[in-house]
Amino acid sequence: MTEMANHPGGHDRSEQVERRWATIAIVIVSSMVVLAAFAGIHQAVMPQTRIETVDPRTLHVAGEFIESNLGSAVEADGSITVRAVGQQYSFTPQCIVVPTDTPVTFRATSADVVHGFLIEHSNVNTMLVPGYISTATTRFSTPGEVYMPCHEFCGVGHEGMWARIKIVDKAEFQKLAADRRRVDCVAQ
Amino acid sequence: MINTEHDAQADEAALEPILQTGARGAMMLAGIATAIVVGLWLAFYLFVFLPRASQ
Repeated sequence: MTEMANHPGGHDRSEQVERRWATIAIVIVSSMVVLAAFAGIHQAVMPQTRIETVDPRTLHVAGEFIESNLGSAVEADGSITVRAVGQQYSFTPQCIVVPTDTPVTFRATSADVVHGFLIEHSNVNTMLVPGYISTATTRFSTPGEVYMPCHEFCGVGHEGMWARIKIVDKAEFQKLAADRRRVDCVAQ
Repeated sequence: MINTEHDAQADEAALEPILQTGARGAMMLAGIATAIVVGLWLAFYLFVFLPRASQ
């Protein structure tokens, strides 16, 4: 301050520089906000549009997340809904099967603490909060296998908590779905 | 050396032109660093994030 008081010209100059730098920062932040909005419109990532709750105490006993209802289900419009549960320290099902070039909606929740839900090579990245249902929609273009690790520290076994997603050809998926109500690739 | 009357006056005099012109080097450095960070963000946005869109 004392230095600046002795140099009034310098004070003006640094104020000018600070103002210019603040303008640059505002421009950068504004363009990021616009690009984030564009990502929503372009469907690169869609924030969840509504809050859905579920009772974590009765999760395994009744409702949408009972064991026999977990896995991939074919909807009337041809899209796929995958239901999964995260618990310390695994996902159920451990191995999920989805077809290529089909809209896939994941519906998942947690049975105990907060878990992370992330699918490699996709924009699916959300959290599983006990009491709430997290949804995310995506589409897979190439067949293969991707990992789905928990990315939210959930306890001592966190690093071992991950599942696999097997992306298969559309026709192959239809064959799998023909004789089963819910599809998964967990070894029987 | 530190806090001697002579040095303080010399510093004052040397400071004047710098404060008049602004710290150009520092602005350049900050500008380049910011450009690299924003550039990398944009590259990920355009070449990784958007191509993974569901539609």
